[in-house]
Amino acid sequence: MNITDRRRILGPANAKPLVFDKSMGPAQRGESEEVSSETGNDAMYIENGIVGNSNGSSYLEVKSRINDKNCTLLLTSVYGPRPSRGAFNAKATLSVQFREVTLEKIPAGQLREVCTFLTNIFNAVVNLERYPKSGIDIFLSLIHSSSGPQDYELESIITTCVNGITLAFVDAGIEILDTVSAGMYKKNITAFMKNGTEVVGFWKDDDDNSASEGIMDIVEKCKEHYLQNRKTMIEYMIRSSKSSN
Amino acid sequence: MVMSLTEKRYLQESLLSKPPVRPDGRNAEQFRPIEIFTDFLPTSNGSSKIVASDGTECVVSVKCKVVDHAIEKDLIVVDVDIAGRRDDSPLVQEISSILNRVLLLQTDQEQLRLTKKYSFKLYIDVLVLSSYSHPLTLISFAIYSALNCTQLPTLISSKDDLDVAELPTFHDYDMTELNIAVPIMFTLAICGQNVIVDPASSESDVASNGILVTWYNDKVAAPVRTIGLNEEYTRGINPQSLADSIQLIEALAPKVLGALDS
Amino acid sequence: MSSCQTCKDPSKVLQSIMSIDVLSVTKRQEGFQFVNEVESESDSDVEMTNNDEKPESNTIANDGTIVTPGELVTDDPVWMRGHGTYFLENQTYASVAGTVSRVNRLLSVIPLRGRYTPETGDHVIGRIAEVGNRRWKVDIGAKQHAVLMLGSVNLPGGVLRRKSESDELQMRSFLKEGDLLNAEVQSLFQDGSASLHTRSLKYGKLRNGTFLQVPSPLVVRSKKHTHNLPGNVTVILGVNGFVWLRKTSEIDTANNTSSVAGRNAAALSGASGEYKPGSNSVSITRLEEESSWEIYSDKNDPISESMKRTITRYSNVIKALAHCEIGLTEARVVAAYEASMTFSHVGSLIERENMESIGQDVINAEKMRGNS
Repeated sequence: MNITDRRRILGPANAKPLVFDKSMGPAQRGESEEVSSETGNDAMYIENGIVGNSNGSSYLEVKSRINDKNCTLLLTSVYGPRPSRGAFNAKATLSVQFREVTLEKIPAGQLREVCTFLTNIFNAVVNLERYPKSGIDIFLSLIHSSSGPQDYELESIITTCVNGITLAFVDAGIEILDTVSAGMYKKNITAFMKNGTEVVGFWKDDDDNSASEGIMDIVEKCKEHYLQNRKTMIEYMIRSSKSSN
Repeated sequence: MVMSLTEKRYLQESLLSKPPVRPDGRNAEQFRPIEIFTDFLPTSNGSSKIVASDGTECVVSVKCKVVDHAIEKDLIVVDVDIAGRRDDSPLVQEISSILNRVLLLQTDQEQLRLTKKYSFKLYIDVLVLSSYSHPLTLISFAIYSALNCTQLPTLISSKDDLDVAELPTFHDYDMTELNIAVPIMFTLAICGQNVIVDPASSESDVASNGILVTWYNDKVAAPVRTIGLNEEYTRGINPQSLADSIQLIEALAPKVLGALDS
Repeated sequence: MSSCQTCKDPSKVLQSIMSIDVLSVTKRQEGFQFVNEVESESDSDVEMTNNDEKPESNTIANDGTIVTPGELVTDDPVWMRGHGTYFLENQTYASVAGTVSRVNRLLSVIPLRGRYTPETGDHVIGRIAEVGNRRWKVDIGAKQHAVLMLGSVNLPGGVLRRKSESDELQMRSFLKEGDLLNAEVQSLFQDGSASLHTRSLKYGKLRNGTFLQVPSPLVVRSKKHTHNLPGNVTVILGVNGFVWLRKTSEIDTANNTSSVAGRNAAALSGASGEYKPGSNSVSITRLEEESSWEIYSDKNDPISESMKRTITRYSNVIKALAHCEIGLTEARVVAAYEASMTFSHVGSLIERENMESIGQDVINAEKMRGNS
């Protein structure tokens, strides 16, 4: 019974027609995480497990604390660990793909840089020894990004990516060493782990704004933002695990 | 090159000790000797070739073209080709993107202005013939030496050509030296608490993390960022290491530039 | 082969600045070097032997003569033609650049450069490239990967043990990709690829040290390739040009004394120190004792920092000798090590001038000894 119809493009066997849920809307938002910006924090909306066919996913909406025109919508999905082909590998290999799903504004080369930067961060974070002979693929879909004066602000996108990937890993149940999160200060990003004592990623661009500041001050300022972000993420995780129980 | 577990452990232990024992006996702040050949391509405006002691070789050629700067905004284009790697491979794309942006952001494009309408556009072609470690430092040294020996044709027509509909004309054989400040980039490897410059491939394979530092106009400039040197041993670093690497570059960069300029 | 490539024409070197301990840059104006420009005095002896006096008919190029591809080696058809030669109209020509070798009636040309060609009995160092079905593929720097059969290694639990299926399944726990081992070429296949074995205590997985590679023709084939050097460092000069430097282990010292003192002493200096009258072959008992999992361990013994520096110094002087195209022998490595002591900083040995000065020292010392 292995006859498949190759002539027509058929949907999956268990496909269902698209039905819109009437109850979906802004009203539901209240019960998820929406931290107000009054406290000087970023407003962050988190939802996990949206992408059904992935092993873990997260959806993030971030509105900056400083610039309320700066808004980033990012969907992260994690596939794996799945068996990888080819030579034997004692550790899992990580790959990060970044895609702008609506408007393509960022040059391809820069996206590459971001991907390698993120891969490097999570190579240090994911417990890759636990998954020999396998691959973990991360897909980042940037749904929207705006930043007032510019078309986009790469720094806030990267920060969101780091947070989004961590949440997706948690959703996928893949072992990570710590709840990693990133903090941003002007055009500098620092990704921390272990309560801010270890830096897993540092990114500094276009230094007109922070040229005079010492690197330790910058890291310190990023750390504040990191601690806020991490708190929001952990609160969400605790709440969602409580509600699922 | 794959190393055995015992080799890696031996090397990692050596690099973690203070001061680090590097596999070729270098100090933490010692580069490998390089050989620079400049101005050897007769058909380009400036060229350089760098050969490192481990056999890494990089050729850079600079060519110029007169463009209307109202139409073409980016006056420097870098094209990177690494032998043995596809043009769309992550490393090639990343390096060329970093170089393009750094040169565009940091260099003073006013120096390329020819007249009120026209500018020189520089095409920098980088060819890495063989590379054994992260080639960015070497490429940036090569670009630096190539741009510093670049000769551009001397303009003889008037500089103010807004109302005149004529193309710039040049002297038949006189050349003017291009005078432009060029950023250079360093890759550093972090091993525990140690920061080492110019990591060899074996050192990169066991480093805890890597840092890219840019040096421009006598100070550390953007981008500064962590870069992955390997997949296996990458881990978080002490924030102090970031400060250490920047301090190290602040101390070393003038000496390196001195050696490159001499 | 022991010619030291001397410095380039000084006029070409515009400046050679030594910015103290940071970066040394040698600047040259031209990018391309032409052969006639870099020619050093040592090249002239090539011309002496060949260009002036063409080999007369019926004579053959002498043993050790340097020939280039296409050069007539002999027009005497009685010679058997070996590797590196070809036969055309009753005349034998060289097809590679190298030295002529005559063994009985076999005439061959050994290339100066090129990949290592394994020969039975060679002591080589290899790196596991692939774990396959009952065998490992080993990179020994030859044209093809060598093969190490599961049956040709000592497994934990003694030499006389049968290889079981569980051994087959856990091959990767003995040797995995990237692991270095030293072995002997047991036999050659039709296509010239080698089959290795590690059935002796001196062979096996390598630990406690560092690896480097030199061109294989520089390693002179000799009776012994493991040498205990001053400073408690042992070097294994693999015939394939792979070199391993490690802290001298007890087995190294034991092997060394046994080779000097003969078989009886070897028996007494066995690991256990006991002489069992029942077992007539001591080496087998020792094998059984030491073929525990220990021999496949991935852990290094504690090595002091000063020891590591000594190993690094040896590694740098071997690279210096290779840079100067000096064949590697135990005596030369030791001589170069001693010559390198004038440079207190090990890291300064990577500078070209210093490498050449060490090479020159070694050659001079050898010449002096030859004359006296």
